[in-house]
Amino acid sequence: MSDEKSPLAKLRHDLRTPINHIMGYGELLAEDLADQGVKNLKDLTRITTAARQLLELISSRLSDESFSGISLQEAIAANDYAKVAGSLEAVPPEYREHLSTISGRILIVDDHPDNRDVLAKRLERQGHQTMQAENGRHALEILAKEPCDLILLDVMMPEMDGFTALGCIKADPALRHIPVIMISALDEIENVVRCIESGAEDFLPKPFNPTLLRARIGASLEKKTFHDQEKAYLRRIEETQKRLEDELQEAAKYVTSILPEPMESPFKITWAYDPSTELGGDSFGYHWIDETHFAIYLLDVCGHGVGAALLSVAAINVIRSGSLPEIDFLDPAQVLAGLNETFQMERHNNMYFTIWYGVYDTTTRTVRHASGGHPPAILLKPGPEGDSLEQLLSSGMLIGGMPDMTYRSATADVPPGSRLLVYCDGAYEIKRPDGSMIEFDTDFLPFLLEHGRSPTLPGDVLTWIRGIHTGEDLDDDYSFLAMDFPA
Amino acid sequence: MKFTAIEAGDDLTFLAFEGSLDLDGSQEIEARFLEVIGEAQKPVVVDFAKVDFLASFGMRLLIEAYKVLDKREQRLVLLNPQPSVAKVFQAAGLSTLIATATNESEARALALWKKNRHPEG
Repeated sequence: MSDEKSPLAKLRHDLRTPINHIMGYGELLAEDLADQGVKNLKDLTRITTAARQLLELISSRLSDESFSGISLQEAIAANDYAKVAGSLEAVPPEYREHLSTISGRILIVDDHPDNRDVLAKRLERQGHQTMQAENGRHALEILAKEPCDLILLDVMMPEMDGFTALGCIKADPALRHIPVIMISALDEIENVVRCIESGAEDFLPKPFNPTLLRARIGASLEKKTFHDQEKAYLRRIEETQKRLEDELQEAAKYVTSILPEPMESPFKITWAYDPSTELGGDSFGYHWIDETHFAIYLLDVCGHGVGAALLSVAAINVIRSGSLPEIDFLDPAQVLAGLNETFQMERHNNMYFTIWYGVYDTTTRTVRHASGGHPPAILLKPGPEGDSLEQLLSSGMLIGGMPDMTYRSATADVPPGSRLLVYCDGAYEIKRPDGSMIEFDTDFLPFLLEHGRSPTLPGDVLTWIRGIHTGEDLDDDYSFLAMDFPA
Repeated sequence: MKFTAIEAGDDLTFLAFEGSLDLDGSQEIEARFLEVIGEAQKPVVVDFAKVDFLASFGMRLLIEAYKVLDKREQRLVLLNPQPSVAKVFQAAGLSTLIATATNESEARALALWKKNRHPEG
């Protein structure tokens, strides 16, 4: 690396600067004259050609190696330059046109005022806005205040050089996306390589070739535009995602908030609810219909997610508010028939639900119940030799499948000290790791008979099936209610 | 879950499901199933012998198929459901709409039995 300039390199740099100005201003002048219709620019061409020869002489005769007769580095560099410049001249005019249509705010950083001036003039002519800084520190001050699309950065500058400035820009999250093009003489190619490695986008050799300048700046600005667009899209996606998540959270909070509080007396009711996604298709409730009748119900919409949650909330609110015209909510069969007419699947996005609905009569100590495609509730009845288990089932069609279905209510006696269990199929339709399902009759019911009196049964069942399922989350929503009748 | 369509003669459509009728890959199967039933214009027998699990999705499929056939005054018959599947089928109230058969000739007879319906039905 040639961080420290040899006296010879310093001389080369100092000689090149005024020659670059002669060429730069000469080319600007030539363009101005051409714009005014002046065709004979022979003399001006001679001046710029002579200047170019001088530059070549400086490169070939004033190099460190030239004293030993070889200028390998210069030769390679000059060769590269010729190739790059040559290929760009071959760029089709319409594409050059395209590149020049993107304009931006460009910061020029160079310690030499004439260098900045000639570059600024040229860039403004190409339709860009320019800002100027005389060293790295000054550049950072401007970047802190002004928006910028592209930075043209010289390497050798007093106070803060191009390396340090580049390091600061690339370390700053607010600036690192701005492309930086290094400007340098060709014998500083090693410095340029170092800058590219540190995050510079490209480099432009001095003296500036107008075509190369336009092409590289156009390409960098285009990239920046794409990058900015991409960032804007990403931000929009993130915002949308955040909003959806927030709304989903809100909805989930609502679905949970309409579930009833656990109850202490006259019945003790506990429950567990665990939706498989943010929003579940299960819902349940209980309430006094009148002074002697207590309703308890649980429904399960097919599927889960937003659509299922909306239907479950709609249906549970209808039941809770008793708002089905001409339906006697003391009669489970009527309630189910009413729900079936109200929630036909064709009108509810092809979704249906299953429900178990029961009404406990405190005067007769009986529960009247009906099922619309729902698994049976379980009544644990105390006896001298422990609990006996009764399934409260009345097969009725699931709700919403077919219009004009009739449902039947059934009645069961509830001895003092009984416990009623109401749950969804997610409580027992559980796959074992080997792919087999647990059995309702030989796995689920025995578990309930054995652990049925646990004060934390709704949670216990969930723990049990999670243990069986292992691995991933449960596939279906889980809800389970236990209701204790006083002894 | 798999779904196969087997044509059995000119008088009825013979189909078979296999595996778990749950949500995996459901939409494609739902569409194909209803397409086959819709195109064939014949009564349908669905072989359920190899179905080991019937969840809400499978029930919806059967209800939809039932409705399509009911409009044409044709029957849907379930052949040989496993006991656990039959239980779910029964509990969902589907047995009031869809007949089940334990062998092919019974299924055929049930499927071809003319529906007794009101003229405007």
